[in-house]
This record gives sequence, structure tokens and C-alpha cells, in this order.
Amino acid sequence: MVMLITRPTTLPSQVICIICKEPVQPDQATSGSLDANNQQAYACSHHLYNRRLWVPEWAAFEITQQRIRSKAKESA
Amino acid sequence: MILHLDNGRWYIDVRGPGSSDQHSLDLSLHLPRRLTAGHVVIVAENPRVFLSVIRKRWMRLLYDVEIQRSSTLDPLRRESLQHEVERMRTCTFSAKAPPDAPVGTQIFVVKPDWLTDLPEHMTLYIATSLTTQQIVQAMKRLRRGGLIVIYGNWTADYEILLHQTYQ
Ligand SMILES: [Zn+2]
Repeated sequence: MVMLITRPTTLPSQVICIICKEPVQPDQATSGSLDANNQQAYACSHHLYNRRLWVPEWAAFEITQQRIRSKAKESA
Repeated sequence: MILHLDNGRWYIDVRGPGSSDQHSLDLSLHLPRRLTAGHVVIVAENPRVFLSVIRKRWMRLLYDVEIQRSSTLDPLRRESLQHEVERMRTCTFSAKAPPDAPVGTQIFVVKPDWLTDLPEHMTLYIATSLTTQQIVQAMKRLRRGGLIVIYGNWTADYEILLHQTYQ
């Protein structure tokens, strides 16, 4: 799906994809889960339809973030 | 496409135009990623029909995840897919808004005119066109740091989102 947006003008130049770990332009990215610091995490939009990649990579990301959160709580 | 709003109150994803089939597929693949964040609200023209499509896709995806889990040997991957399966299995949907939805509902599929009764939520999927007034209503219960996903064309009615996000 393609979308043309003229606003806003405050877009950062890129975000990092949690799947391929590469920088990606906002117009080619998708928001996913939150990371250990409750910040929004992203992936390239084209990974969404590759469920053999999309599902396990996000699932692994989430469990890793959950562990980081638990460790931070323990040490606090 | 994301309208990345790190300095704003919410994040906005615009998925753009497409068939309702494409939208429901996109949404069912994306939805599991938002389950741990908090309640999810989906605004659709016909909640019962939309929910039935999402449920079917959900069951198919769950089956696929179970197969992936049983065929992986990597311990982290296996454990995380097990979590995914459990989360998907126990997830609760309703085509009603509170107070009519069952207690414990995680995903609410609602009509545009039910937006006054929304629970506090972290993700808002807009799968139908809304007026500015309806958007303002829906966002009243969207928590800070939440995500709005818009299916369809960006119209002038959505400009309020950008305005409110940076307020
Ligand atoms: Zn990527």
C-alpha cells in the first residue's frame, strides 16, 4: 500500500528496523511493539507480509525487551 | 508509513488505501505486536463482520505460529514463539464497547458512533473514515505514547491528529 503524505515536516531522517537492524526511512517503516524503555520500536513495512520473518523476529524482540525490563527492576 | 512523533503525545502510522481484505490482513498481522502495550480499539463500519474476518485470520496465523514453534530448535526462538502462541490463544475480542463488552476484553471493535464509551487504550486502528469530531472523541482515551493506525486515505479530517499530537 502506498501513501502520499505532505505533512508533518518534523520527520526524522530514519529509524532502525528491529528485524534487519538497518536504518529505514519513515515512509517505509511500520511501528511495532514497545521496547524495554516503553519507546516505540519499528520495522521495515515490507517485512509485515513475510510472516515467517515478521512473527518470530518480533516475538524474540519482545521477550528480550521483557528480560531487560525485569533485570532493570531487580537491580532498582 | 510512519509519522514519527517522538516529541508528540502519540505515534501515527498511515497504511494508505487498499481493499478491506488487505486492511484486515495487515491488521491481523500487526495486532499481536500491540497486545502487550495495552487495550486495542478498532473502529470499523460493521464491527461484527470485521471481527469475524479478523478472528478467522487470527486462527490461521496462530496455526502458522504453532508450526513455526514446533519446527524451531533455537531455544530463544522457541520460547518467544511459545509466548506468542499463548498470547494469541488467550486474547479476548469483542464487537461491543464497554459496558456491554465482557470483562477482560483486550480488543474492542467498535462503530464510529460508539466512540464515547471507549476504554483507555494504547492502540487505535481506524479502519473506516471518521469525521474530525469522531477522531477527537476516539483520542480522548488514547494513552500517551499510544499508536494510531489509519487505513485509507489521509483526509483533511485527520489533520486534527497532527494538531492534537503536538498539543
Ligand atoms: Zn528491515
